[in-house]
Amino acid sequence: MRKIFKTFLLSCIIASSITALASAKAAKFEISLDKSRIAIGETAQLALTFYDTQSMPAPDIGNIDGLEIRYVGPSTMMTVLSGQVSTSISHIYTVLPLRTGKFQIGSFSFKYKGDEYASNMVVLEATEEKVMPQEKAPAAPSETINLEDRIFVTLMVNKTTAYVNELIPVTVKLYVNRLNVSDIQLPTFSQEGFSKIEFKEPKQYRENVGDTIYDVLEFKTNIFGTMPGDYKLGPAKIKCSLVERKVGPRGARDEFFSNDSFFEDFRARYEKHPVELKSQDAQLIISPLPTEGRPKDFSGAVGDYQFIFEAGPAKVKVGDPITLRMTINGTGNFNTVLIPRLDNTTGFKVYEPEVKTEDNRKSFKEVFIPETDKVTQIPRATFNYFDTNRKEYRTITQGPVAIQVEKGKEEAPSQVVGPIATAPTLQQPEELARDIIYIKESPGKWREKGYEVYRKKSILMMVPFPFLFLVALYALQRRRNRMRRDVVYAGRIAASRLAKKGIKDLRHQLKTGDPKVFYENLFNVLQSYLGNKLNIPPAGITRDVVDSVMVSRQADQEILGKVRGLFDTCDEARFAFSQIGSTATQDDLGDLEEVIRYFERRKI
Amino acid sequence: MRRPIIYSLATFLLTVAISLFAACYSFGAEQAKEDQNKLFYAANSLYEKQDYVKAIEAYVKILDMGLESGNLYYNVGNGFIKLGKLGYAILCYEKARRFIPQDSDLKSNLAYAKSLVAASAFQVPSKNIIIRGIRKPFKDFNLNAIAICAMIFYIIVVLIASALILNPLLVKRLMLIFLAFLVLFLLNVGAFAIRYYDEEILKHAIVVEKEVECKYEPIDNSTTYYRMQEGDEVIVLKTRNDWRQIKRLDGKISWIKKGAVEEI
Repeated sequence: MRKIFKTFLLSCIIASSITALASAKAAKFEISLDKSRIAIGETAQLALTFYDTQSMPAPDIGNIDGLEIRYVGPSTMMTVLSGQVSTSISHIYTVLPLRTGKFQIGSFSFKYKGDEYASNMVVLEATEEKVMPQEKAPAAPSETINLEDRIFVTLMVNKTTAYVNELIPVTVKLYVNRLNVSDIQLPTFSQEGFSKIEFKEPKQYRENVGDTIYDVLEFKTNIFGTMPGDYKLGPAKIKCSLVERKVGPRGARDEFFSNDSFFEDFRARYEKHPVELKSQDAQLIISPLPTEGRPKDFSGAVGDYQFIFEAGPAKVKVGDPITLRMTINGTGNFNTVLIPRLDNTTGFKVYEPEVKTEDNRKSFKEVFIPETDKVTQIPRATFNYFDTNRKEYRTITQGPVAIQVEKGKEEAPSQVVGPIATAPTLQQPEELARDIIYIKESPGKWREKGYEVYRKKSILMMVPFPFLFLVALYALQRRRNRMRRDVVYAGRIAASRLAKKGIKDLRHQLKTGDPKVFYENLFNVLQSYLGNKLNIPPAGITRDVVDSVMVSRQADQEILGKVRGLFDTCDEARFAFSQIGSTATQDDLGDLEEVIRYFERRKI
Repeated sequence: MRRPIIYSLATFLLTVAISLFAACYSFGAEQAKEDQNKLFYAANSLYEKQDYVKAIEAYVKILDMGLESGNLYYNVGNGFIKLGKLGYAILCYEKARRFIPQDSDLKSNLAYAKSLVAASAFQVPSKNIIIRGIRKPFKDFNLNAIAICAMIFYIIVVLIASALILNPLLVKRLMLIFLAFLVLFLLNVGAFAIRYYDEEILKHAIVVEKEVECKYEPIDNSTTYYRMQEGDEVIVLKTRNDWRQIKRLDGKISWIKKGAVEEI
């Protein structure tokens, strides 16, 4: 039982740990300005962008001295990149400087639904003079606005000439102005003569082009030419869908805006129009690497690098590992950076290197095991690359690193000095004999043959009961809740119960009671039953009321007649003081029972 | 008016739960009579005197009385080892393992017995990773203990679910606990199903003869398909006259003489 408890406890801990881990969430939050420098009287747009959510409400960012900040509204974006869906919401504010100077906006931090959001910080500079736009508008606004002015793609290549294997930064930007865009795919373009193009996660921000503010999705990558020649890069193509909002009865009308009233949202439907957007081309000349001065063991590394060489421990025994770490830092194409060449590794057993590539760094971890105590150093390593700034080949040599290798343990007996009698004897591993462990002295728990818990009928029969109990409890609780919430239902249930009790009392009074009291009670039973059943306050139940309700609910004419008759008889007996025989009371009680049965059967 | 019904249902559930626990507990209680214990100790004395044949006979007498225990099978296994009957020894240790799977002495003796027999000529395929994963937490439990565990988890799950139904405000507090127990219960049931299939549905058996010829057909002069060694484990598929159809753990099916294997 102790083991059972231990396993159970362990499972609980594991289950709760998994749940706790699963609930942890990282939340990304950025703030950006469309302009970092504006004149007094001008406004800038501040965007607070929350990633992986579209339900974040507009946060309260408070007041900043010297700035007037007003909330404009939210803007949502959904992107689908390589099957990965990412969403974001941007809350837009206008920022009006009230005086000149530099204003720090942010960083902001918020808590929402248990997630913590912390942003970066931006600086806005307010000047007296009007700031002229620095960037030329890719699409100048004109009086007639085309779709191409509202959504377009640009391709920017930082270099027009490069060497083979030299990294060329490429930026593709998708500009969107007041359009709903979804299903945005990664940019594609012809890559003949270039390495494989892999884009990083896009950056989203707002940019002011001319007088128009665009939502920008910026894709960045690095490529390199694999063959010399003149190449045309692009056009970059981006596939996406324009989401058109249509409001029902007014028919199909191209309307990309979403500023309709609340009620129109219910009638609105959305249509997606897939489009492929193309950018302009870029011309690139890829030059071959010069042959002059090229080292013999040049592996194709192009860029600007540093080479770090470390080995340790410096003092080891034969057979002990020494770790050699060679790190290439810098800027350039790390795809073509290979492990630096080591001079001579005789006397070492060398294992396959472990290669790790990070941003602007590639490291090689290699294990050396000295096979003899005669080795005194980790050999020298040489790294060659072509420096694109100096336009020449460079060679960096590091090492050798001095090490001290001692003889291993197995050679210990040869070091014995002195009389043999005192020499330490080498301890041999003890050889233990094997045999069976002795018999059990107690019989343990006896059990009748074939008498297992899971076969015992009495236990098996009890197994369904807890589950049935659960089902019954659920049904009962549901009924209770319905009784609380649904007055009509509660009334119907109460009607049947009270009617049964009333009829029982009336039967008793038939034998002993006064007919007047009998009819008084019969009237009460009928009134209370019909009131509960028809959801009318019992006090408001009269012959006419019941008549009109039953006619409207298409009750049987015969029953209707009996109800009318019962009301009449009751009134007569209660108010006219007429003598009524026991046969009549019996009949009236029968009529009452028939009426109740009818109502129970028909569910009126 | 509804409360008494809920209370009576709750009382009923509690009664069922207590009965289940009581049934399981009483099940594990000692059922031995004086006679069985005396016989057991007498058999132990015979073993100590190295009269292994008589010791085994005494142990088997207890089995004939309809009682069994893990320790009893363990001692019988030891007796057979002393007599050099390794197949029977492994058979008894395997039987003991179904009662006391966590016993370290048993594990050691079984491993020792297996080390004395000739190594199997075939490779036993490893089991599916999911099945191994479900079995592992319960590997030291016998089938009865797993069943009792499942019942305990079952009652806990029902009790928590009842609390959640009666008071929905507890959902926030109890839902994680409920889900944890539900997962444990389902894992437990999965482990029980796997072990039940393995131990009760599949008829595992041990080869008890030194070297056995396994035939293509249940006929004496039929072609020998392969040979099996004493102590090898097989699954008995069916029995026909003096023959048993067996499946080796690598899946190869053949016929073997009835007395050459004994079911665990």
